[in-house]
Amino acid sequence: MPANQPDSSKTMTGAQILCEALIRNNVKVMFGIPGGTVMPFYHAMFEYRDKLRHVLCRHEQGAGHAAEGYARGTGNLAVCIGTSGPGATNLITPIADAWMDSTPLLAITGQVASTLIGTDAFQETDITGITLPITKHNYLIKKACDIPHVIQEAIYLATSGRTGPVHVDITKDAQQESCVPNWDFKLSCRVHRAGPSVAVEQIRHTVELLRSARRPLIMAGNGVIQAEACSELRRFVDATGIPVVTTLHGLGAFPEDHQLSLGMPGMHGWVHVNKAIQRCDVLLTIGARFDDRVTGKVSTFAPNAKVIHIDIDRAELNKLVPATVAIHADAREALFALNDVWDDGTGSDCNEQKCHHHDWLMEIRQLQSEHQPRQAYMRKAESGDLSPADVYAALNKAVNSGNRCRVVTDVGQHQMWAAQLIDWSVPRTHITSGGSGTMGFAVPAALGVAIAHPDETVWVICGDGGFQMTNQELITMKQENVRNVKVAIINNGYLGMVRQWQQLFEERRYSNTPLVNPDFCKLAESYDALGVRVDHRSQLEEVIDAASSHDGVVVIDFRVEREANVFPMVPQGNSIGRMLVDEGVDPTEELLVEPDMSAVV
Amino acid sequence: MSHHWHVKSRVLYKPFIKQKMQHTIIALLQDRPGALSRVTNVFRRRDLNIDTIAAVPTSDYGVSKVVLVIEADNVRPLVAQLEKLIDVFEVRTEVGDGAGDALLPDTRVAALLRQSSFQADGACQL
Repeated sequence: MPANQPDSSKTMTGAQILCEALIRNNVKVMFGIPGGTVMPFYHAMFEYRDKLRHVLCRHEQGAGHAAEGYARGTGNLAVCIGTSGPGATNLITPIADAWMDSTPLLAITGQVASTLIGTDAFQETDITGITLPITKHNYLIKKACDIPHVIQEAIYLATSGRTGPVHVDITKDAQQESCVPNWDFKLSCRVHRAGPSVAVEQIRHTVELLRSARRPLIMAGNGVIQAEACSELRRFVDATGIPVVTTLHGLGAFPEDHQLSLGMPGMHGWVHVNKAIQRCDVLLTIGARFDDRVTGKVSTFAPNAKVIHIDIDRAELNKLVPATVAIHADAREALFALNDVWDDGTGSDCNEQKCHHHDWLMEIRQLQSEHQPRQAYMRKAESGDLSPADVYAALNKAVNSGNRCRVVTDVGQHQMWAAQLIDWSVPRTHITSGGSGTMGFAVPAALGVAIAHPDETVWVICGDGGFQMTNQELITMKQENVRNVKVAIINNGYLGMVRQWQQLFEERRYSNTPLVNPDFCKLAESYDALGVRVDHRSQLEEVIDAASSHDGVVVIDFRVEREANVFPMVPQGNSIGRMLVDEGVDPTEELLVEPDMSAVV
Repeated sequence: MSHHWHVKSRVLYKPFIKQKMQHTIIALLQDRPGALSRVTNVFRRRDLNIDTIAAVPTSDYGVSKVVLVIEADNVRPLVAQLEKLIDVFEVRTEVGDGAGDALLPDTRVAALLRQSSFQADGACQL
């Protein structure tokens, strides 16, 4: 904490101290909704409005997701605010989402006066009890004098190590009471734990394993982006010639136009990517946590591989997939060390090593050329109908047109198509709700991204179902003069992913998945956004270009083929080597790509 | 006598359950509201029953010690989760192997709680 304390001789209210503490910790934007127990905070906020921008959302869930979008788009901490009781419980979904996706989020809630705690007072909820399992830590502040160090501790915790949400609950009387704040303190040692240091022995062991590997593979996850290790990863891949797969949250960590980039693995990963994982002999996983959507049946995951796992969170190591080398380290520092050790040991044999991997890469590319054209949406017969693949082809063009774009996706079929069909190359341009799978994430998150990056175009890709969960935040965009958000609704009139499962695994019993939708164009108009409906392929480019250049929020209602499915697909609980690659036909041998267990090297 | 109760309950109510390994977990934590709740929540989340629990303040100001006895296959991930808690300073485990052997849980806990091996300078060592 800097020692400059211009105001320390002054008595301040807890609410003023809170604003001051946030400003001192570089908070610039907050998303929230006022209410009874945070009114003192909002009263004080008015004095600080030049330094502390508050975005008034329409629902606390929207505020939380907007903060998440801000954090994911920038890598910085974001703040969301709710009042006690329902305001606080509405924040639970974004807090849980931030917990699953390691998003640095500070959630501030008001609480009833300290004298009323535990009495079932009006709008009292035991919110610290509720957020306990979904935050890195939480605090209940009952005295104004505790605010400076608790806020700093909370922000330190949210942004250090494996980043994540921290919740601070502040009673109304703590906000109201006055005291002289003390800004001269040190973080307690229990909070300020030293980060892990990279063990050189483990790095050497890793390099040895990679050097002797015949089919090495790198899996990069969110941790690479969070640790800002993308350029180090690129350097390592260029030096070693090892192919890279990127998980859903790792998309953008490694450019997909790079010759060694393979794509996304997992339940909706490409066949060649999953087969590469099943065949590889050494798997270097960096900043990924072996989610079940990536591993499929975990006991069958990468059966031939020695796994090297680098993660900032020690609890992730050996949690699901046993690691031959488990490195507890920051991804960037580990990659620095890997690059150093690799460079030290390389001489003229470097090229030979690369050639070695060349055969392996050719094997994977061969698989890719066999299987990728079999994708249903890659070989659809010509018709006037709008297929999702058509929309994504046009969106991909717009996103990669050279203008800076970020894409926020919701959860469901459209999310998987976006992950598969858009070429991701820049970190923090693909923002989605992964671990938690929160429908309704996209529109408010895009608000946060758009506020963080006012000069870029923020594309929202969402389904008709998810859009209706949080579309009220479109009017927040109007109020905050956010004009750079373009919403693409992939409208198939169903809760599409559930419908796909019902089709494939539940005899087409479409129980409660068809949706009767509002007129999205009229809805957009009422939010002062431009609404456009697209029914035909021929309209695509024109509409997307017009939307990109339109100065204001646009909502495009893409009326796509209603029963298009996401393929390939690993049925839940199966090995990722067993993939459904097409629909409408019984999953016969032809359609199931068996894991190639003979490929043991 | 508690001795018999433990043995009996295991025989009467868990006859068909695969006998899991018994573990004793000793943690040093922040002596303040909510800390114990955070610790026990890690067990609840994993659907683990706590057979025995006891907590005492230590000679170090602000540090309390909690001893838990559980039956589980593998406590390693659980300990990793406990170590992540901000209120937890340190975690140690001991393997206890079922009934009739060595000290019974309640006696063990009492013995562990009586141990006073904390350093006076505040270094958190078990």
